[in-house]
Amino acid sequence: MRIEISDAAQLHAPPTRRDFLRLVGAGGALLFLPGLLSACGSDAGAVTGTGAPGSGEPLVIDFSRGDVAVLQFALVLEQLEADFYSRIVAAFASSGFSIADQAVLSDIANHEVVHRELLSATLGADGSFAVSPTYGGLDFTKRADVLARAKAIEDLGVATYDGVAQYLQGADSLALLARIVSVEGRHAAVIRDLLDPLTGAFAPGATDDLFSPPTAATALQGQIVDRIGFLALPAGFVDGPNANG
Amino acid sequence: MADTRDAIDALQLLLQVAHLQSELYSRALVDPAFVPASDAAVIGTLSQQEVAHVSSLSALITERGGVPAARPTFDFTAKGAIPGFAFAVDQYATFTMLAQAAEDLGVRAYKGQLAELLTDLPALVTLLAIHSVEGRHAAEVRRLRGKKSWITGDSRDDLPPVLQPVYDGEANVVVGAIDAGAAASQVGGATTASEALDEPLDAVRVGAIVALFVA
Repeated sequence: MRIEISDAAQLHAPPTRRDFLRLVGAGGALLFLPGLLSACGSDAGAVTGTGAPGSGEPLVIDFSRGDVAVLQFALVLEQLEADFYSRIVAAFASSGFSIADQAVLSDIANHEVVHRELLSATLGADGSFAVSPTYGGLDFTKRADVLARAKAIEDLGVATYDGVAQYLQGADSLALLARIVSVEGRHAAVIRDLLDPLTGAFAPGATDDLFSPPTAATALQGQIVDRIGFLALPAGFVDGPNANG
Repeated sequence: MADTRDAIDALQLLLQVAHLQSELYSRALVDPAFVPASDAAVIGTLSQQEVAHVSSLSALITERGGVPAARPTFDFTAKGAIPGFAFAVDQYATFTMLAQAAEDLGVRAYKGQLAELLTDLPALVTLLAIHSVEGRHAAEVRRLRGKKSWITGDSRDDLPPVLQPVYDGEANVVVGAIDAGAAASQVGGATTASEALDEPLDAVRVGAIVALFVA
């Protein structure tokens, strides 16, 4: 059984959400989040994701696989982050970043490669996949534009890790994600400090947001070409202190 | 069903860490001349947020039938290992060293207790929401000090030797069956991987570090 939606707002519209949860409860609804493909310029229509192994579909994350699904979702994020920072570094020669900025951004770029490779190696050939990021015309030479996007991506990363961790069954998987997410928090703070030095901006609250998979995927979807789908998405989500999952 | 006793033990340990952090900042803010004007917004934010963490942890303990342990009397000379430190106006640099250690400790301490709350989701989500903020705090304090915002190897950098236990074990890059240094050999191997991964610290070692600062 499968449902497909065209607009993220439908997720939060009670009738659709109720129907969706009922479908999940009945076992095996597949949710595709909004593609946004038509808004991606030259990427329009190019569904390049390899999807979950053997699925023949765009990127499908199957939560019946347990911790694997959570790590796969993390891998989507880390592929985006690693690609994003590699493009920033590649544009240094023509961009407005100081030497100090460049040192920070180069470090982060390398960290994101570590995260991607660690997750990919942990998942193994059976669980890994490649996604295609898209940046919607972002000019990688413009400091303010690049840092604003970096801030959004880092905050999304933190909220996604913090949100999906509750679906983990194993302490080892939790420890893996926890090793990464505090470094994402470090990245988020530094990027925010580059934008707003020596203010309270580095930590907008005493507690970070926790995003549910649909909320996180909706934000992510605009930044990758592949269409994210969930299979057997858990019906429940325990909201964090900020209550905006 | 959560193991209530383990959950409360974990929360009590983290409450001690949060008390240590919040008191460090509140003492720094007693004399308005102590924190330079340039850093006041950052230190003020850190102070407010650590007070909030104390409240959150206390509430979680109470909700589980526990009694939040009292705030210890802290001695920020670490029993004399940081001689003469008394938040005097010419000791701000020492304060920021202690803040760095306290925040890097916070990251590792929360991380080490998450598994104790794996079956208590309401507590787990709160700890997760605080844990990543500790990462933000650590990064910002390190930035104030002109340091990298991440930990390289198990280096305490220029901090006093008494603070080395905060960093012991941080050089690990083997996660489960994977050597992250080898997996990322093209970007600097183990050195980069150690920066990219923060390591948990167990309850015994966290307790010993907090005890250094209890009078």
